[in-house]
Amino acid sequence: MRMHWLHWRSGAAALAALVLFGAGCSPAAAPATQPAQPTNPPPTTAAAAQPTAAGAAKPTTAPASQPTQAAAPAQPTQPAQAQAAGQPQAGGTVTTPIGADPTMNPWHPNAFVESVFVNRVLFDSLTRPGKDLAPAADLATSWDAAPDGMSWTFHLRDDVKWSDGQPFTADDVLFTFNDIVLNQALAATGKGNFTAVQNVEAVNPTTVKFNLSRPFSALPSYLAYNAGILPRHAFASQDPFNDNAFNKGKPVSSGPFKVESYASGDSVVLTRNDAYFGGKPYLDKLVFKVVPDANTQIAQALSGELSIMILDNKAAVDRVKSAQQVRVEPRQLVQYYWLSLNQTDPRFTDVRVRQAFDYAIDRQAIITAVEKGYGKPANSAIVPAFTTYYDASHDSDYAFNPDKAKQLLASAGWQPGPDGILQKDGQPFQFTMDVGQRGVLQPTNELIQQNLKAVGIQADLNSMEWNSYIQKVVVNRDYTATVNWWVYPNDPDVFPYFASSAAGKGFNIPGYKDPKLDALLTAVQTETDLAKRKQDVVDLQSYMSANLPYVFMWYPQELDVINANLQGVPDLNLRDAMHYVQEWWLKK
Amino acid sequence: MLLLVSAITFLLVNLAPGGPASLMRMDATPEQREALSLRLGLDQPVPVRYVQWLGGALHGDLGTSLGSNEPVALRVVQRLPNTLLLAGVALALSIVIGIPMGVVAALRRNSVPDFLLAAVSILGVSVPAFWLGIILILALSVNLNWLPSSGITSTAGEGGLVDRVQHLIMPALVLSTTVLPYVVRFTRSALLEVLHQDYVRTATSKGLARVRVVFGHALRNALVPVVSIIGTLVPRLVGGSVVTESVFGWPGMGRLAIEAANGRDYPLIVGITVIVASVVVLSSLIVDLAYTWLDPRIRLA
Repeated sequence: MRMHWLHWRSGAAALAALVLFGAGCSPAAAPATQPAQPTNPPPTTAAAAQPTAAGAAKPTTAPASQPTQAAAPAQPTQPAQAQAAGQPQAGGTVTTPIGADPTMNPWHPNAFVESVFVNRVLFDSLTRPGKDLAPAADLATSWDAAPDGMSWTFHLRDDVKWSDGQPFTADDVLFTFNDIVLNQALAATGKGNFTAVQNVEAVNPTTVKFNLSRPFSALPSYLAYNAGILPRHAFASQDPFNDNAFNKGKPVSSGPFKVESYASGDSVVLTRNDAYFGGKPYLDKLVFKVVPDANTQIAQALSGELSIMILDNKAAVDRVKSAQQVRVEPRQLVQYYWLSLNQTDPRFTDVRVRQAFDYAIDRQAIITAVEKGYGKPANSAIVPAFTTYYDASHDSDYAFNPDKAKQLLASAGWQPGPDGILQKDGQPFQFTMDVGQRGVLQPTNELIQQNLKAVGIQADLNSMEWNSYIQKVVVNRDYTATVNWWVYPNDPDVFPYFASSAAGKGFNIPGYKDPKLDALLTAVQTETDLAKRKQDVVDLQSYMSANLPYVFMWYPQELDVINANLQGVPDLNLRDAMHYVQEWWLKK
Repeated sequence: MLLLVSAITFLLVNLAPGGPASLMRMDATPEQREALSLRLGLDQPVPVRYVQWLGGALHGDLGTSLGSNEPVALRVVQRLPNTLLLAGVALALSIVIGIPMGVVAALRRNSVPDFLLAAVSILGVSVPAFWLGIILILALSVNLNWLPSSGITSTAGEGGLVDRVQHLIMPALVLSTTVLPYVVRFTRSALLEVLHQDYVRTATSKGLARVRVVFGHALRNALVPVVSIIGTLVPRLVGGSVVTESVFGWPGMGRLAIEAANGRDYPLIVGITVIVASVVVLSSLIVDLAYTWLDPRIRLA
């Protein structure tokens, strides 16, 4: 007899399958409460690392007070664990995940986020991020600005050797900047951070001078931000971006570890550089393993295959925290999420409307939902990580208050319409928000949509694949409202994101133009006296908080998952901590 | 035919919204994008670019990958063997496990084994590969520490046969779940059809042992439709490999294709498509050849 598909046996089989499936899907079994989203790949295209482009500004005078005149640069952090865990031991391999193949050239247009980690280990820069994020010595031992602020002079070490034995000299700095960064045709990534640099000249083999087109206080900090120095002799007459033996093979490097092997799609294995100028590193090897899936990364951290990683999917934090073999540590980031209301839309040019948005959106609830509480509402672009500059008392506080939002909207001329949606001049307050599918943006936008609905604003969501989203919103500026974030170097110079000159084509995404804000931005950009600069930053912070060029959302924290045996990792976000791998050690 | 595939693919990807990842960075300035566009040859119209690509392709030069600056052929050659290995083992597992399961299900029709196998088939079709992969990783790698959770070998390039087999087991199993249920069900129904044929009744009434009837006569005929189904499952393996390779960090073509698509790496996308199309054509050819071996009545035309 043939079995009809409605036969009780096939129904029972289906039921059995469902029960088994349900049992397997129980929270105890799955590490993440959300299934691995196909749209949540560890970033292979650059979105996480977004260096700034420094714009133009007026010249100023006054000597630098950021580390100057051979004053001691900020010391690298003394890892607290080292004191607690005992004496560092030599040996061992540390493995950390990356999402895709790296390009081992920090200036290459294909150097996306996975390359950042590798390149910060391989290539030293003139400065590195220090404690309190102030620039610390690396290839340069000290630096100072000229009295007119139109140049910076860096004194270089004379004891650095490249991995092929050649000495590092000023000529390598010249090659990196004059031949690569400032070369328009090459379109080096990150060149936008150095638009104020006209050229670099060698005063002598251990001294270089950056000649500027306008004062640039943040230069030492920017030189610590994905700005590795490359060896001239390794490239000879080769186009530095077509030299695959270097970029995709075995580069000539100066850092504490050098490339031993690279297998596409699999890993980059670095081995200790015994001749490293900062002293012999403790670890034998540092492996960057390609693990594209976020859940697999978590599983590998728990099984010990990975020693240290960033927990992108914070929903899994509770499960990871309960594991004995790892510790979870929050880190400060120089990053803020924002909602950009396109200033070409007349509805958004009224500051009361922008403020209403900030009051209407329950940012703390979003932080709890998408960051599991690891974040803080933001009311300006100055991040709390800048402990020298950030002062919350200068923020306007936009704590969640829908009634206040409604009042502000009413005062701006918006009255509730027949269907509850606000109206003005017969037009409903309705628009579309473009959502890029990456990270936490989708759930964030959904929450915002609900918050806005509660005050009578109808925001429709248009979710887009990331690459297309960038083209539409960032390249073409064809959008009304969108949520995104900025990551920037460790300095409060945020001119490129807010200046009028950066509207339209530059990084001023909302297109906000305000001469008063420009003046404040320029002051911060050009002031070299630390005390005066602090005041300038305070003024800037207050003004941008009150006027909301972007509707500031929140400052996220990074969660690092670190194996219990791994010691010596400083209290910095993982990208910055990569500058200290020579201090990491494994407890046996 | 490959020409048509390449032309259509080239046209479609270049017309898709978005652009090469190196241009679609949030930290790129308009000047950088323009300069890069020039360097990558993207300032020229699409038909001109296609002709240039074709000229190179006919000489074996599939162009340069935008995402890594390496030759497309090199990138594919680095990854293709890994996917062939994974898909091949998954297919072999499906055949070796699936056909016997289908035979058992057919012979023990409507009994407990058949019922269980039906449940397994439904499970196999329903369970998403990424979920199964993660569950297996959690169970076998994290909790029990029996198997490694990603990669081809423990340290790149090295690793003996045992190490490689350990790395291969879980991804191959997970990938095989995308085709195993079909093999089981089709074998079952094909064999059931054949078992009702006159010649089977004749053989049984002649007094042949059941085993001989089934394995000597019926199965061989039943396998003809099964082989054709397997032929259509090969593309499914290629597609399923994308998810499996991502979960298990397997450096294969599936993952390369996804990265290329996300990053609008035009030469690489077209190169992969052309090569995968060739592989599919080749597998169809092999299936046709298998027919003639299985069923002498079918001759190569």
